[in-house]
Amino acid sequence: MVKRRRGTVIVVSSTAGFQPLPGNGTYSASKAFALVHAEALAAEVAPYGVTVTAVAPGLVETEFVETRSRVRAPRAKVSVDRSETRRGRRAARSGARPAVRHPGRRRDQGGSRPEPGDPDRDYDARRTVSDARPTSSPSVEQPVAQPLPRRVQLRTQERVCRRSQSQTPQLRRTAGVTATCSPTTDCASGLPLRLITALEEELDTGAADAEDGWWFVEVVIAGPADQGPAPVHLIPTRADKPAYARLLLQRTASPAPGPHPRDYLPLIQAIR
Amino acid sequence: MTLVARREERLRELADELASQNGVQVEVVPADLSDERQRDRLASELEQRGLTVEIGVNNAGFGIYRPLYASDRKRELEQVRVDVEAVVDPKRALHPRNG
Repeated sequence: MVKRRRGTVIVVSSTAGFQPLPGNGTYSASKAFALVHAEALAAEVAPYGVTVTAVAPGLVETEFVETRSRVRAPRAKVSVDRSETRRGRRAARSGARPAVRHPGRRRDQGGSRPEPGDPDRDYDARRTVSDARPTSSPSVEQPVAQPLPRRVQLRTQERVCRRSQSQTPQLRRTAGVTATCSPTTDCASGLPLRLITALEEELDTGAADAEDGWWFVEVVIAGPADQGPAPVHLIPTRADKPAYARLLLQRTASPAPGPHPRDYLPLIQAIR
Repeated sequence: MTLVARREERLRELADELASQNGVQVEVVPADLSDERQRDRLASELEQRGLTVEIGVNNAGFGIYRPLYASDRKRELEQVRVDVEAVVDPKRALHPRNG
């Protein structure tokens, strides 16, 4: 590609790359790796007209998700539990702690100091893809036994953002669809996550037909990060199922020759 | 378009579907990307077929969904090979054989 002075590399990272996922640590670490590596690679090959794009989808409807739900909760539909999310929100508004469960910490202990976990009790290694079944006892749930309420996931992400607060890009939201940031400070975690966070309420109230579904938020980071101010386009698109909605956050920063990131949209959308 | 994954039969199914739906030519190269030698073979296979990579998508990957203390060593390391090693392999990352 470098010799030919053209080419495109698309690296599929994940929103998992923005946060540690207990119970799937290697996965989330590998996706963080993929993201940062792609950004470095993008800068390396940009002078040669080769573009590197990292795509960070949320959960997408593939066998990956099916496997996950078979392992964890085979009968549960893979979706964010909106009621749980709402509860979490109300709790957050009233200052209560979000309902995150940890092994070794019983529900009724609230925020008190957790008992030491017992690995044999907290994780039943005999559970396999074929015999997995939902467990009803909170004390034996592993921390990722259910999808986290989205609110809690966002909180986790906000924490990641704060870690790099000194580099947090100036973020300006206009009409909910456009934001401006400084790409030189566009830390991989900060920009998309802040946008996701900022958009959450809007998404929640903005589309009645998504009430029973959940949001796919796809983050596309394109081009080298050090090439001057760049617009951020948020392109809301609807998937064919009305209960689902997808967002594509796209940063267009690359002055290098080659296809515009927008040209990848059909391909990226085909990745599902 | 060229599809790469482990299971040839399923790749062919998908290839047929994509080809008939979109009227494009779809090639299939079965390969386990966790295996360095198979990644080599992928590169030479592309060359042999005269295929030039315009857009490479690094999509292969998997999760385990088990805490490390309950995880299988072989599977865990395999995950790093697919999710990380295959992504950075210089022989695959930028498809130099197609240079």
